[in-house]
Amino acid sequence: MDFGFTPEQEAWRREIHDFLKDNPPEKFPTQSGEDSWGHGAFSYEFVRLLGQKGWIPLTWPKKYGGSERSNMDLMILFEELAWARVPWAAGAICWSMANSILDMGSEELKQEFLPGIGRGETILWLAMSEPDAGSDLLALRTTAIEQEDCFLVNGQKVWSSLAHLSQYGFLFVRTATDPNTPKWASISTLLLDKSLPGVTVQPMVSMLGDVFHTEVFLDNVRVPKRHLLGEKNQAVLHLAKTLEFDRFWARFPKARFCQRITHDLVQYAKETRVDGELLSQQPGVRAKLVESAIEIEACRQVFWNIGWKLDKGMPLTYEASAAKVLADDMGLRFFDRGMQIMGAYAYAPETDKWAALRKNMRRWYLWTAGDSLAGGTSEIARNTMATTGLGLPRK
Amino acid sequence: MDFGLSEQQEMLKKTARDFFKTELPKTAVKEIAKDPRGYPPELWKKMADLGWVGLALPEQYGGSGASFMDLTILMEEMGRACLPGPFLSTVILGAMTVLDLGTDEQKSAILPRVARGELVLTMAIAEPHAIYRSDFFEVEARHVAHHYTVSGTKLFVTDAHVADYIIVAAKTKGGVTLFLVDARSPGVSCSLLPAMAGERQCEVKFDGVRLTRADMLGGVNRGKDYLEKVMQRAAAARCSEMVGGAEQVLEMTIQYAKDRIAFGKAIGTYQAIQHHCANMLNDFDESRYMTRRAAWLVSEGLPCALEVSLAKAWVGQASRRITSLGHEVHGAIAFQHDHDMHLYTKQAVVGEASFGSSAYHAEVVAKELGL
Repeated sequence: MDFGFTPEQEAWRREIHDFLKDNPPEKFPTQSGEDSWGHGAFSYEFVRLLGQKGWIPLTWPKKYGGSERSNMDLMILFEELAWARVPWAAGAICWSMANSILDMGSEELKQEFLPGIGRGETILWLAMSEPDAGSDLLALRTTAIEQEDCFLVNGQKVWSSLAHLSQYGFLFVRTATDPNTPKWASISTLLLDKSLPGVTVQPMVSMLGDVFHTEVFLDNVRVPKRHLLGEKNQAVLHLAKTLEFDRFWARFPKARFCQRITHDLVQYAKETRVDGELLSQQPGVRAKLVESAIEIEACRQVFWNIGWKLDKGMPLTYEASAAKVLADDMGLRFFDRGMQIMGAYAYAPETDKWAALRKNMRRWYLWTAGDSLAGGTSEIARNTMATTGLGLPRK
Repeated sequence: MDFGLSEQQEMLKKTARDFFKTELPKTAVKEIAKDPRGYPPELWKKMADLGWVGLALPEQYGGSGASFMDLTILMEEMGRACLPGPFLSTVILGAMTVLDLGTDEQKSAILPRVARGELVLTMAIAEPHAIYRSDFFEVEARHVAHHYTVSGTKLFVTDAHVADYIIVAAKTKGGVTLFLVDARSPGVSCSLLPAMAGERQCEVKFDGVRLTRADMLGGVNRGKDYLEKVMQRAAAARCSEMVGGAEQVLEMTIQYAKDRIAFGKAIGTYQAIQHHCANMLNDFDESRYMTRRAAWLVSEGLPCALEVSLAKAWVGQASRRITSLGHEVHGAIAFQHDHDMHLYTKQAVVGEASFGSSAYHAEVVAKELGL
């Protein structure tokens, strides 16, 4: 057993830290998320810079531009990026889709897509949900009928994150339409070029007042056959792995991100006096900050455990679902406490040094309302934990 | 980073699990709870013979030279088995302190006998007006001529009623000093406190107990800083027991959910039950990793004040949530004395209060955060 980091890992952490100090994330223009760092913010320029550093393909094989580093090194990178609140909303998601391409793509597909993703130039969005197929993904209705030279795609996707800023969709479609074919043997994955005729991306304005998700309409879109990822009709077999990447890696940075906000809130509490008393001396405020710190660390240890298992090549059963539930529940409580700590002052005039923290806190609080629903609801994830993880009967 | 157990640790865990399964059925645990001694000496001897009492003591004192980490892996199984008795008192509070602070003579006189299962030790820290802050101690060791006299009342002294030696933390001029006191010394008296989980805690009164410099552990005024270390060790060890208990609760709850039929189906098919179980699993995993990390830091002698308190604060709350959901899934059956569930419920609530409640450790975390 060893809960420490090696000198090489510590040096790696410092290298990232120094790089981010030299390239302050808040100096980069953002195309999404007006707060410029944190949840939902995205900057082409920043993601390309990560690409130039070779940090996007960190763990990939050398022949695809990677440096074959360990998952542990990747987790350290993710933690430092999270601490610095970099604008890379699509980063972790994109990274997990690249892994699916590495896992099941043909050599031709890998050569076509991985270099661009690695450089931070190709951005993918995950096109899974439909108006009547969310957590119940296998109910999806978008069809892709195989023709001589292409798949002819028709249908509609919803909650497609950042599709308006991406070039390719990681698209789940029904390729076997015979009603007697079981659902699990009828779904395929296509890499959808957004610039193809018949693709329409419609921004969805969220309760935050800005756009993160989109609706994507697919009207007789001719997707080249070479853009089929993995075997036809077999996407469900890979789905667990795709979701594992999404549920685990897309949430992994959250614990560290929340630690950073805790750090900022502690400073805020130590410098903010209300009714003659520093917030940091008020028992209610202290209790909320401490509860958060404890819960974040508990969540973080589970994440590191999962990363360690992945690094060891150990099979995962319930862990990615558990990670999703833990991170999203923790986030909900964390930002709820954050709003309570600020109280009425969350809406104070934006003239002092805490203006950005207040504004972000309001934004993050609203943002978390969607977290437990994304990537399959937490209820669905709990079902998976209970059945796949604990062996409880399904019927 | 490596979350895995070593082969030896796996083996120790398995041996311990099998041993307690045969040697300590839950019917025995319930019987022992009625016994005023609170533990079966025969079982204690067997554990000593297996090398467990001296597990983390050096070989020169009859121990096995294993690490504190190994010890906590063993203690997970003790928690799982609801082992009553003075293991934590003797080993964590007593022997490890003697090993750290004792003179060669003290170590040679005490430790081999501990390892053989012949001595029970404990430590007296808390008082009516001081849980762990030694600044507020009232028990005092007064230096009179060539000796010291100790007077005052200690509380929550675990297993003092069966202890051969009690390490007492007493105020001395300019600080706090630890003394190794023969429990049969004139002036030492001990009475049992109310218990919930079959644990044995005592009020120990010291009435002019006469000691010499040779009874001191670690020298004059060395106690205050060392007590922090004792607390960290004990809290990590207690968490390990609680994690072991939580694991058993989770497993028996899952089994019950699979077996129990209601409305024509196993209750484990109902999502309300499944979600309770999933929540128990998350609380358990978080508890286990927090605890093992804290224990590892203690074991390696690395700074661990924050991590131990994070773990103890978390495990104290999480264990209670786990047992509470365990009751919910079991339904009324687990309210019965014949059922084993309540052993864990009680162990969790007593564990939460010992070696710093969640509230106590939350305050440590607050300070570490800079609040």
